[in-house]
Amino acid sequence: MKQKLLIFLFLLIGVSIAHAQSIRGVITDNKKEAVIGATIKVEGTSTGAVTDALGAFEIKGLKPGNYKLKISSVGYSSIVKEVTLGTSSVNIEVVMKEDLKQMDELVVVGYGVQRKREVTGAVSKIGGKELNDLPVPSFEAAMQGKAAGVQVTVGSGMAGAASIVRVRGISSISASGDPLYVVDGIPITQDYFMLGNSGGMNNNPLATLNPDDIESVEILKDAAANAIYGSRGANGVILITTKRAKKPGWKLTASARAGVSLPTARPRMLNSKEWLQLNQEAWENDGNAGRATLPGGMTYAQANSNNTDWVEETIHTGFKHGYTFGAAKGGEKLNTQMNISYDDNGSYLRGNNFVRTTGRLNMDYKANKWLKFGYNSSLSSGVNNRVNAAWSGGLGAAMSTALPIYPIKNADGTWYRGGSNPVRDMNNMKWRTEELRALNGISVDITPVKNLIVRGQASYDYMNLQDDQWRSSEITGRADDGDAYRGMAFVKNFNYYATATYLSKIGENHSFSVMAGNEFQRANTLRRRTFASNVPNMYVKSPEFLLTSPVYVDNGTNWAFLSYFGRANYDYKGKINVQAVYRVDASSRFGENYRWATFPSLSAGWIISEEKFLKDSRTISFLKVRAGWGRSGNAGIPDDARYGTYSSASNNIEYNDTSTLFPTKLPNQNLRWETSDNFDIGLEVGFFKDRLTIEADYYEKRTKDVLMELSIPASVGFPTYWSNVGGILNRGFEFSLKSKNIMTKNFQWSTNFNVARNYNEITSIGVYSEDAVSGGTNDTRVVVGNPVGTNYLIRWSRVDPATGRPIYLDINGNETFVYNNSNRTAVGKILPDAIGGITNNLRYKNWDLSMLVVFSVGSNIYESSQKRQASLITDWNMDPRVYDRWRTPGDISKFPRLTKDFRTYGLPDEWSNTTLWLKDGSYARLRNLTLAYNVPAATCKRMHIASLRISAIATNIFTLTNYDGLDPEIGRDSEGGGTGALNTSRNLGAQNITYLTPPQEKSYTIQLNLEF
Amino acid sequence: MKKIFIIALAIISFSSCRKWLDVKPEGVQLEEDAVKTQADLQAILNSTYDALANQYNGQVQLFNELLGDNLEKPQSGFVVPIYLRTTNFFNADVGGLYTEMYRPVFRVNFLLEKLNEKSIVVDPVNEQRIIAESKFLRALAHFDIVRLWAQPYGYTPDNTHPGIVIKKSTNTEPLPRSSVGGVYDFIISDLNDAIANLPESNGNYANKNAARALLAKVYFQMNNYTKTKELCDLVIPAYSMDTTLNRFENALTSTENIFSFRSTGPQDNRASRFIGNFRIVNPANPAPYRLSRSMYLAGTADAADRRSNFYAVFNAGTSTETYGIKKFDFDFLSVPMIYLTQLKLMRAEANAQLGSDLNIAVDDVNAIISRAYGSNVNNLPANASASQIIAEARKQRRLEFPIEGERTQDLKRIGAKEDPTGSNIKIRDSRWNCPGLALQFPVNERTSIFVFNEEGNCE
Repeated sequence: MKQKLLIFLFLLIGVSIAHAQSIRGVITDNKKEAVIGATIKVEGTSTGAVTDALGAFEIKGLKPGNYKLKISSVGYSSIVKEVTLGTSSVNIEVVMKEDLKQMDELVVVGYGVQRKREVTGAVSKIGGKELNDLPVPSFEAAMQGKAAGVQVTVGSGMAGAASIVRVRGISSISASGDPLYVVDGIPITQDYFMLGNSGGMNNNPLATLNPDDIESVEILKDAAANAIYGSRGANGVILITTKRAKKPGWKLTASARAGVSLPTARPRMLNSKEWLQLNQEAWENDGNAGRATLPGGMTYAQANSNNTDWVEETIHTGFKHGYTFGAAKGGEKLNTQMNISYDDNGSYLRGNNFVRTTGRLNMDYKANKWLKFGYNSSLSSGVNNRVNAAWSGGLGAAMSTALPIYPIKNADGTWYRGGSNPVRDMNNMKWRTEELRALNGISVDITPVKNLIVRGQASYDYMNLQDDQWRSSEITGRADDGDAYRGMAFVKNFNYYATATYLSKIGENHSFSVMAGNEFQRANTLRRRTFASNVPNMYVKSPEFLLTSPVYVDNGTNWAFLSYFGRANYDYKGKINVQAVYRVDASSRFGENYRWATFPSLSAGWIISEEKFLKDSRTISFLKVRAGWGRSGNAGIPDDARYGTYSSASNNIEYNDTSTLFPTKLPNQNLRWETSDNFDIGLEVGFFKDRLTIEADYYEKRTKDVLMELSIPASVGFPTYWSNVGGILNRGFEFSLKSKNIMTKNFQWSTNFNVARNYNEITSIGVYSEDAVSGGTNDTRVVVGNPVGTNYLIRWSRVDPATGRPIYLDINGNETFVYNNSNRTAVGKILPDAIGGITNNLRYKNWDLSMLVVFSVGSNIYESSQKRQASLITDWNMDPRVYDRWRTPGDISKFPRLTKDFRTYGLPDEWSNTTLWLKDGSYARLRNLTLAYNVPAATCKRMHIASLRISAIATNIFTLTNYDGLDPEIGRDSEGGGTGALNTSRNLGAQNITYLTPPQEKSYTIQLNLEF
Repeated sequence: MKKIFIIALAIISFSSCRKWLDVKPEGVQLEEDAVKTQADLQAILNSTYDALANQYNGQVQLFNELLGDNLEKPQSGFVVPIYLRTTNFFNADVGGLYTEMYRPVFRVNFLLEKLNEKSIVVDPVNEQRIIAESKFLRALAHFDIVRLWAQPYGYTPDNTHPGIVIKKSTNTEPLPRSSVGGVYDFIISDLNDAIANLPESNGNYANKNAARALLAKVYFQMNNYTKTKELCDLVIPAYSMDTTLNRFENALTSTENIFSFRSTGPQDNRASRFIGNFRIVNPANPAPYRLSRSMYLAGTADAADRRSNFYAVFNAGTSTETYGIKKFDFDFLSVPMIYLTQLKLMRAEANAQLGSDLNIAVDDVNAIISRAYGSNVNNLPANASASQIIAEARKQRRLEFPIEGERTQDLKRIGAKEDPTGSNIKIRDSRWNCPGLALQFPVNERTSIFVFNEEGNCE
């Protein structure tokens, strides 16, 4: 019986594999490495295969005969291989060539993709891999130096700090100057000020995006590119596309990393003895005898016995570690990509880290020939364990008000309270901010008739922000368990768009594509706040106290955009491309009369290299000129900017146990869109089969009706008023180059370089004065003929050798001892003249080395806090730069005589600004140095893995600068009350003005990348 | 199937209508929703008290004291230039107070315009009262703004020297400064309207006597003794001396109380800056502000004066000896603004200056002294001379209202009266009329029609 069964089975197998012969093969690239996931299709049949992790494949079930195999893989030129199959199996070896034609890569352009060669606007693309190669507090920091004209100023050294991203300068004053971020077609919530300004940091809405999810980032720089996002494109658009499974079969990836964080520059402050000496010198300079008075109620006995190094007490070596896991499964109908990650990013500030946990699921399902569904969903949590910094305390206090003569604790073990004590503050306060974010989208693509594609996408971006603070009785001064506070924000951001695209071809030479669409977005933010006394911990740890705490309602946001748009593309013989875009937008932020605005653009490109006279050129492989004009807009103002608003009777503000009602803002129903007219002309050239490519752009952007929250006379009853005032000009030149310098079997070297020059000028501010808009406490102003963020200061001339007193310059440039604000003049700017980056990638056998140098030239730094750290002896500590001071008649010194009385310098107060604190902000820095070893394929095979890469990464380890302060790259928090003031502060002074801002971090990391 | 999808997409795409954009800002009230009834107008009026109470919580008083001789130089911050009389247009604290004093003025102007518009039904009695209270509050704000940001009344013989912006509408047009004389005329006219229309009694809000008493203070500041006396005579009989020495302890319930800002508890504390600035939490960690030695010595000169117990000394006998005041050692306090003792000392000086009713003047001063000592032994003799009365009344003003913001304006008033050239009367070493004794206006007042104060130049 058994035998019969076996025979039957064999027969069955024999029948089912009637053709035992197969085509087997291995596909490698020119580096002899396996090409994984290449598809092999037998032409004229429906059979095919996909290469495995070793590059091997097998095609069974073919009758003997001649076959053509079409082999293709992304990044390689497709190959057709002829194979003759007899009755026995055939083994073949195929070597695929890498496709070096960069101009053929796909570029995401907003509601679609285009081939780079067809793009008529200015678009920069950064691949996901380029963003993942260095550890950063938030993904946008990794864009630095990698795209021409995109200025990224990385935020301070605080964990999760936001960078400041400027695309081609800045064209806004009180409206948001940040680019629009669009993730997979969803304009995401990007409110930096959801927590206002607390602890020396603003919230970073991008911090919870997982850099490992990102497939590519496209930056739309001119209006030809971004007019399709018309209403919000004025400051550029950043399109983020997340990874989706593409190749058939499984792909598993994992990575792990661990590293340390240190400040790029450690603040060096005076010790007790040094401080006491200078305090005494100032005392005697001021004509006093005896011993100088001491702050904080200290006696000399106490002061002499203390020597606290507050910097040491507030910083340490931060530890960071992170893990990612990704799984992709491609198939005939269903593609699935799943990523999870955990990242604990500890900064060098004691007690400060940002923990990001994310999960993402992207799926594509092809139901049939005409119907396709897409789904993308991410869930992320960002927990920021906060500490005070900068002006708010912590390291900021260590650099200022925490004097070395103060102890941490008194002799009896109690905290010292007589003066600033950041250690006491840190130990008696708990602070945790948690952001939960769900970013979800579903899309459907329908092809009802040939050449017509209809697409619809709906998305929901939900964010929940929770700011928990707790202060002990030591801080509150009340004999109970302490005070707890929770601020809450709930952001619901709904968006949908629908587009219809029709493709047509007339004859051989004329191709058209026309797209029309409609989009609607509505976002709503609710804000709540609760606090109570006698709570033993943060609410997150003692949630039972939430039940009894009163909840207060704060103003949220509520806005909507409705848009209709169309795009028409024309292609003549693959060498001339013309694009027209028209978008109509309406925003709830503007009144009925000014609600709608139109944003057109027209652009064209001519691929000259397709013309006969260049077609066969050996030198020039690609040459394109393009030019475009367009208009884009900005509506990044508070929802209620146009309204006169009231604080209602239910505001919980009572007087005499009776409710109150009051106006909170002046109305302006004539508020309208801020619009920018852009012109761009670009040149793209490829040499030697695109081994060297160059891209150059000249642009001009003129912005009018600039939205400003103006300072008006306080006697009106309100200090500020929204209006459209004046104009801004940005004009510049961008150049980028990509070169494969050496390409040999064992050694390869490539260089990417980009540089951009931007000229920025405020062309008008209407009837208002320079002081009508100021960058918060950053002392920049709006000065016609000067750039946004102009340092408007009294000029310092020198120290009078005879008296040691400062000599200033009056408005005419004559020396004077008189400090008068009418002598202020435009003396500097926070915007650089030129920015750029150079990346060098070297590869030798299994080793590779990557180096990124970024530079910024021509900006000033205003070291605002130094006015209290040098020469004027207050209750602040100083740094050793103060020693270059005047001591006796005849001394030539940088700083004047020490004094405890600012009147010695002719100043009205200790906060007075002069150009003495204005510095050259130019720098070049080795942003990234990565050395990596790729474990050879053979070893990997033995380990049953596809690849393994081990890298050592160092960031910010070397900086070249003339700046004598801590770190020349300064991205600080924005200050002010309300979104308008915060935006203004961010636009006019968040970069290159430092006020005890924690320096950036440098980090050393070891990373493992694994593929299965 | 295909058709269904296309139709569904088409419906979604074209169903979007304009209504979708009628989105109102979240959590904010627009005027049309907020201001509809008489109760709403009353709530706006109440918010004006609220806003002013938040500035008379010790801040207005502190700025006055910083300019004068009752306080020690603060350690740091924008208050230091106030002390040094070097404020400039960037001083955030000075600009902040200025802004917050004009903010309630906008509210009462809005009320007056709204009532004038007659779009909201209000019964006549309440309308009259709301107008009168609005004018009382507008006068109060202008009176303190002009005293802090301009040279005093009497600085020039005809008072044509620059005062402040008179704000009597919600118009956003920038305005020039009016003369000090013009500002005082405006204040007097508002207060006369208030007196005419305020009720005799009005709970914790301003009543007729409050307006009369405030007007008396205005005239006293102008050295107009006849009017001061006339108004004090009208008000004083309605009140009587209280036994409590520290009027902050029972501001509202005291028999001396004419007008106070009310606090209802620690969470609604309208004396927060008084308490924050001066409360002695523990002797090792005294309050941020210290009293001057001159104030301390004056206050403690006579141990029999029970008011001397208000004062505290820290690090006694050492080089770091400093002084504090214990009047504000509470969790919350109501703030007495206008009260009987002020009127009595004003009337005493007015009578003495006029040479009339000297017996009443002596009684007025003695009422204060006898309470302070708990006996009559230190009283002025019944036959005290006018100049004795004046001297004693002025001395008592400093002892009776320490850190309440009266001292600097007293010295300016006396300077304007007795030392027009500014050679004798000094306010902490500087002549009473030196430029920096008027605070600088904030930078946002910068327009072509606005003249700023001269800065500094106080020796």
